[in-house]
Amino acid sequence: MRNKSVVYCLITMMVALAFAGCRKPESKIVLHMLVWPPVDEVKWEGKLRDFHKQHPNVRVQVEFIVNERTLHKLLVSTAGHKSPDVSIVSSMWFAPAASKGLMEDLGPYVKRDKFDLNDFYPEVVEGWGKYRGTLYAIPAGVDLYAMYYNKTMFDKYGVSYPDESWDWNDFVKAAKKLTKDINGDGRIDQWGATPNTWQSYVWENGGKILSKDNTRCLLDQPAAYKGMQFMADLRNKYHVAPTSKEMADITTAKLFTNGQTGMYFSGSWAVPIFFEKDIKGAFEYDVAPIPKGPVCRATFFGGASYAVMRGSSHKDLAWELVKYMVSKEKLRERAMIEQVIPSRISVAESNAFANLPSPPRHRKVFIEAISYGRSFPSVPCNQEMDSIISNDIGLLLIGKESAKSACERAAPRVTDLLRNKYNRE
Amino acid sequence: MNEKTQDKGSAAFRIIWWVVYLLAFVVAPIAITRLYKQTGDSSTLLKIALPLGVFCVFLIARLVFQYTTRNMTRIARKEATEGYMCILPWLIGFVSFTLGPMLFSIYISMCDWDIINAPRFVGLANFQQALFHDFRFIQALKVTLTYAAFALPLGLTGALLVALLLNQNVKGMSIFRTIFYIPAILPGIATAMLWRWIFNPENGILNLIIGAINPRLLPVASVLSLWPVAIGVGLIVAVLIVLKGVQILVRRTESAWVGVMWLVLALPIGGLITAGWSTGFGLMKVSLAGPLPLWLGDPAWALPAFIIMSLWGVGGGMIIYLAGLQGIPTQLYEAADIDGANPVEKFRKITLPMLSPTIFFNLVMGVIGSFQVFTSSFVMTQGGPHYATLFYLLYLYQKAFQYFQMGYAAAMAWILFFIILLCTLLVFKSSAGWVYYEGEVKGRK
Repeated sequence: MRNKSVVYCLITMMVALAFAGCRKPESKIVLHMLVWPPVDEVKWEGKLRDFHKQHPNVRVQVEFIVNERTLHKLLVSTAGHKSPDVSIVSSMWFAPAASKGLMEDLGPYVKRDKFDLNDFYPEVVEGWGKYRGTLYAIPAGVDLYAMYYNKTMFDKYGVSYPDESWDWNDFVKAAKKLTKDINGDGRIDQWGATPNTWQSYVWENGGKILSKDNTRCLLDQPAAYKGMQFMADLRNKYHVAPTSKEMADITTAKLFTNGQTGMYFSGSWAVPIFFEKDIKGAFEYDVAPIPKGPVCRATFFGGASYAVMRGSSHKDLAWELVKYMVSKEKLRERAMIEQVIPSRISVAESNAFANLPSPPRHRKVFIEAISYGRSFPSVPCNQEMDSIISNDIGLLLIGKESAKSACERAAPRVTDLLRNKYNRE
Repeated sequence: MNEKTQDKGSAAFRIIWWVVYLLAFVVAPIAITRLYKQTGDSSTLLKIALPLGVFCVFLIARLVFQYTTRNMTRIARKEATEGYMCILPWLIGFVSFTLGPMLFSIYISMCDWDIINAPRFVGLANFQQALFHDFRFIQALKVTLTYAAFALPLGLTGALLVALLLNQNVKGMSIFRTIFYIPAILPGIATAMLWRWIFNPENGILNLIIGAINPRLLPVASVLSLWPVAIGVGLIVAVLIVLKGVQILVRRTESAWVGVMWLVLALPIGGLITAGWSTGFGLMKVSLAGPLPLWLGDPAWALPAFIIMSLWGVGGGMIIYLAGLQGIPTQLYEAADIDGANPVEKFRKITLPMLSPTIFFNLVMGVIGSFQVFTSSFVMTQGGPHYATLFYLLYLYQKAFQYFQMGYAAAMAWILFFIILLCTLLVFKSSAGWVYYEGEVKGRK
């Protein structure tokens, strides 16, 4: 008897639960938006307060997902007819997403609302807003690398601070002076720098990653591989950067915040995420433009933008949300709190970002760098391409191969990839 | 109920069943397609089509069951029903979650598909691309086969050795068994993180140990690698062989030819041993004097690191070996003891043959498992450095879920399926020669 009553109880509970699942249909329109997890999730609700005030009949449902998994999520949810309405898009996979037709063409919306695109940096709109001439997303921020340096360390060894005039030679010279075996155990424990991304070195040496029509990889040209060689030489020839063995269990950011490297290439966002937390006034630091190469100055830049998804069923409202997310107020907020370089010229040139009271003092360097920033080639297969190149320079980075032979092997492989049927349209 | 009424009843039932079949397989699908063409509303129709599909599967299962049991007696049929009932949970899972996707992947493997846009049929182009035009596919195959070639024998013997150790009668044995089994049930991600720390070239425990042992081994290796030592060892072996030959010639224990052969072979064997000795210890000296391995950072050491790591999983095989060892009747060993067999003979003549079905099982599972390394390389290396750990499944995953070439990935999956099938079949074919089942006499069933 007791057993039976238990069963009845369970059945009742299950039925009750089943009904609990059927909530009353919401009277508000729900907009789904994918964004990357912020440091503080609670603050996100506040970010949308004004939007909810402007659109009382709409509720924005925010879903957090890391950058690396976002494209995957977008593809699968679109295929399953459960696409979000608005999504954040990274420059790293903007081209694959656009080529698969995940995002709505924003051209008509911009025209209809007379949305002022001229307030955005044209390089940035070209980089991760437009794909083959069509506008798919509105850039919300710029992420580019400049050179942070440890002022205290520079003072200690009598090295003059880096400035605009620095080129690769000045950089190596200073780095050599900063590379030291502090505790005298025969092993270097303080390095001049950690290298920048390989793209910068290729570009600054006059090299190109792809041909203009994106059908051929040009890394096998001397200008390109010599730049790549310089990057490897920093570790293996000049020994001013830690080798992969020496930094096997430590990130480049950590090396800098520990005061173990004098110069470190990173984005403006590193200040709130790493520096303020980890340096805690142990030393002073500032930021300078990256040293110019033999041919030109070029830095790797990327960023995020917001897009209306093609699978959205409330596209007009989604567009309103995108406009809200890239509005001047929101970009100013991001610039001041997350220290993201604004994509709007008006916000960037206002004092919101450049004159933040906290160090680094020469934050303006980041805004100036937009003019010589270059983004990763905008081809649908750019992630696969990145994987091939970084694998093929694996031996170069540990000093077991020359850049020439590594690049001469990688280039035809990338060319093959570009011409492969999957990536042709 | 006599025979006749039953027949009549079943005849009536049969007609009803045929009507049901007709409705489910012909009328309903046609009606649904018609409706779809008229309304174009796929989501509502899916709600009808899905249960119908499930029902059709049930009908097919009924047909298959009736066909396969048509000649059976009532009792046999009852037994078969019970058997099917027992595997039903698996069967439902397989049919509803695995069979459909499998069949679909055959179709997809002949298409170009990025999940979003409609699949485009390309014939065998994916297979052609993989087998003939993709260096990463070949590399993935190479990495996986190399890994299997080393990890499989290592794992099989390692697990057997541990099982033999843990089969002794020692106090607290269950604790040891638990300790050795724990790694096998740890989640792959946790294991990978742990090993990444072990392999850390600067502060990892492995390099700390090697770094501490190396300076002590180095003088030993450098002395052993000296030419006089190597020549001396070769000479001693040659002299021993000559003695053996002379012994045979004098005592006539075997034919004279064998004795002459020993005499002739003495010098070449001695030479080979000298050469092998000096190269072996020479290499050892060089590697001991050189820098410590970078492990996951160095293309030359990354795959060996994975092979070493594979030993971590011997617990799974060990537990099965243990069960097998415990199943060997003790009277066999008692009889061998009475006959005066030594431990080595007992192991070779009793343990190994009696354990051969277990070894066979572990071998088959090992073949399948060693082709399917994924988690560790996904977490630890992402296929790098320089493609050194680009395991087949990792590359497949990248193609499918990072580059979204589903068709290509499906083709790769089917190629792997046939490779594993082939290997497993080879193992099965060979098993007739070395696997002994209880009560079976070799050569005769």
